[in-house]
Amino acid sequence: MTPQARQTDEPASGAVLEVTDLDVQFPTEDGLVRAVRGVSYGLRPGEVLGVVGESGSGKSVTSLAIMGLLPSNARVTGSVKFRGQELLGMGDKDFSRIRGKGIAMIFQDPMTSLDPVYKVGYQISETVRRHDSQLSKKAAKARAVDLLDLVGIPNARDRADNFPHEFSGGMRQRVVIAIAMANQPDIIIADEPTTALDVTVQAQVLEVLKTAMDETGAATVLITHDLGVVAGVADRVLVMYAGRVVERGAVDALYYKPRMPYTLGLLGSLPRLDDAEKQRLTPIKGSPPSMVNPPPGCPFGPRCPLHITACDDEEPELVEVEHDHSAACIRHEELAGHADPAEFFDTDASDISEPVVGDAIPAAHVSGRPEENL
Amino acid sequence: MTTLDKPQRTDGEPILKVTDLKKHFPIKGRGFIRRTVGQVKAVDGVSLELYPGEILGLVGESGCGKSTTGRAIMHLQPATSGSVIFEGTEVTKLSRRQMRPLRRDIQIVFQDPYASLNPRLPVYDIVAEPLIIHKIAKGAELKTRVRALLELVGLNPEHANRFPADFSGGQRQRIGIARALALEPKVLVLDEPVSALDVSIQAGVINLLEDLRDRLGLSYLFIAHDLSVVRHISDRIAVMYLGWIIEIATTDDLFNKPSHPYTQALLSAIPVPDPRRERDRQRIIITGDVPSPANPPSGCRFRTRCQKFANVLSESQQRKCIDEVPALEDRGTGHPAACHYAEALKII
Repeated sequence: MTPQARQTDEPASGAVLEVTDLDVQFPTEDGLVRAVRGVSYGLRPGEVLGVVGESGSGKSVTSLAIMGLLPSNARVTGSVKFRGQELLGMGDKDFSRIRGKGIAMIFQDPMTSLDPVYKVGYQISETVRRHDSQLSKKAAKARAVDLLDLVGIPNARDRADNFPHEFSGGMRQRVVIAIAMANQPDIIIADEPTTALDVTVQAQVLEVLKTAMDETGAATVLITHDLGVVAGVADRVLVMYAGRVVERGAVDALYYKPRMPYTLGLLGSLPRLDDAEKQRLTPIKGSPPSMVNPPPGCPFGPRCPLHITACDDEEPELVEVEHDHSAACIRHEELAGHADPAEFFDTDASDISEPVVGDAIPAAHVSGRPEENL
Repeated sequence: MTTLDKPQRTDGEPILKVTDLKKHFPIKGRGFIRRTVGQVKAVDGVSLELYPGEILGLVGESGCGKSTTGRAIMHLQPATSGSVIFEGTEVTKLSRRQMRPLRRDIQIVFQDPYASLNPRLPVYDIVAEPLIIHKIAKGAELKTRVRALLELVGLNPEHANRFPADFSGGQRQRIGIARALALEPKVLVLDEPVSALDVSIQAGVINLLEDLRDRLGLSYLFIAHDLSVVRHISDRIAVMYLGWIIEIATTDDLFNKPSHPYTQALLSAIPVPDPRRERDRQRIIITGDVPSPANPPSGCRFRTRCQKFANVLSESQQRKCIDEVPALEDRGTGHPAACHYAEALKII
């Protein structure tokens, strides 16, 4: 799909998934942590939506809320509609008909998302039979072998009888993808699917993920902190910061014409593999705000080079700045036509910002720090 | 201060010279006697040279031996064999006591800024500790030094009485760098110094490391798995695979003329944040995973995953890969690569 072929920014009624005003809060000893604050988006059939953000931006919590997988102390409000059906507040019994069949999920860590005491073939056929009780065990097993073959596991017939510990990390993630595509879901949510893997294996797994998307025709939400991973596969991208969507648009517009200073800064702080001309990186000063008592105004304000006093008045809404492109910044017009981060961000190397007191979000609710694949 | 044009730093005497360094870990059998039943050859014959003022990148995937190489050079883990010569002194034979004066000149920064700082010590004590141990400063001078060090790494000296937990990941890594710089070393071994940090924070630490090199004339052995970061900061790059260096070249040469099939696959696998370029890219996808370093393949260790071995070479050519260990030497590509059939290929 080319960017030109896409229609409006607002989800059409044909959206398979409609998230409206999603809020997630966790009570902690320090107070209420507002992990996700008013996230809305629509997912169109067959599209690939990239969700980008740094640690603690709320990108994983959003997807766990959609899947109904948050711990019971989480307070979730808003609305999540899958094909018009409200998912928030749905009972577990009804929800399990949708999980796996309607919406499948791929987690970051393939070491923990498979059950260590069952053979991988069984874990796949279990998923198949769960949603199709007519299917015989034998047929389900055959389907499991087919799926393993499809995701590129050599000798699939024999390997189906192996346990997860007999597979490497990349192979396990293939198994997880096979499970996700087993029931031809309408939506696949992949949460940092390659973060725990080495780059050569990451490239393999991304290829398999593309196969899975083509085979099932599922709309995909690809959550990652790596702007490179999203660039090649996504149709549209959401950028999250401090629990909010701060920019949303077609992938090309977002990368080449960002209208939110945070996105621009993020692009400028990435060392580029493809740049022969070395440029000084443009770090973003400071740290993300505490999510316990977020300060009034724009959450990015304290780190923003374009910050003015008006930024502290109220939190900017996500407004359409161009066709199919929205940004949450009151000065977005000044970014039009300026895609060089060095124009706004300085390259000074100090970091004298006030130290953060305590990590805002309880570690258990946020998937790990990036790049822990060592 | 600019780091845009890099001077050639590879002339003159190397400050650090590593020759045929090996680090093998024994695999113990079960049972009472726990006989050694095998060896994990984590580092298996690494040779490299680091020149004054140079940044040498050491890259590779998990388990390739890059961190073990760094630790063996620092003599934090005794090497199995081989030699490490730092400014004319052989390091591998020294006792801990003999090693101590050398530690002033060669320091290490660890990956995890959460685990490498004592959580019960205020930042002042963490940075002052090396100065006290080496009896370099005390009293008022110590205070001045610590303040200066914190300023040097871009932290606010007013925060010196706070604890590591009060700082962000990037700031903690800066504390680790200040501690390493306290003794005014000549060489820093940086073991994945930015990989635990978010990108917006990581950029600040990379800029800081560049500035420090230029201001203090340091040499870095920069160990990382992220080739984009390594390209950005290094003058030369060595690529490791299963305990070997398989290619070593200046940064420009390595990216313009990668000659080992593994380097080519590695460069090809890394996604770039540029949608148009990324959609048009042809990838070399190598199959399988890294074999176990306890039982590496014969001959060339990369042959089991090599796209060239599988698709291009004739049977007799393959024979050579299976039987003969390829030496790390220049085969007409302008820099050394450990492949019998090395050929420069434009990837990016």
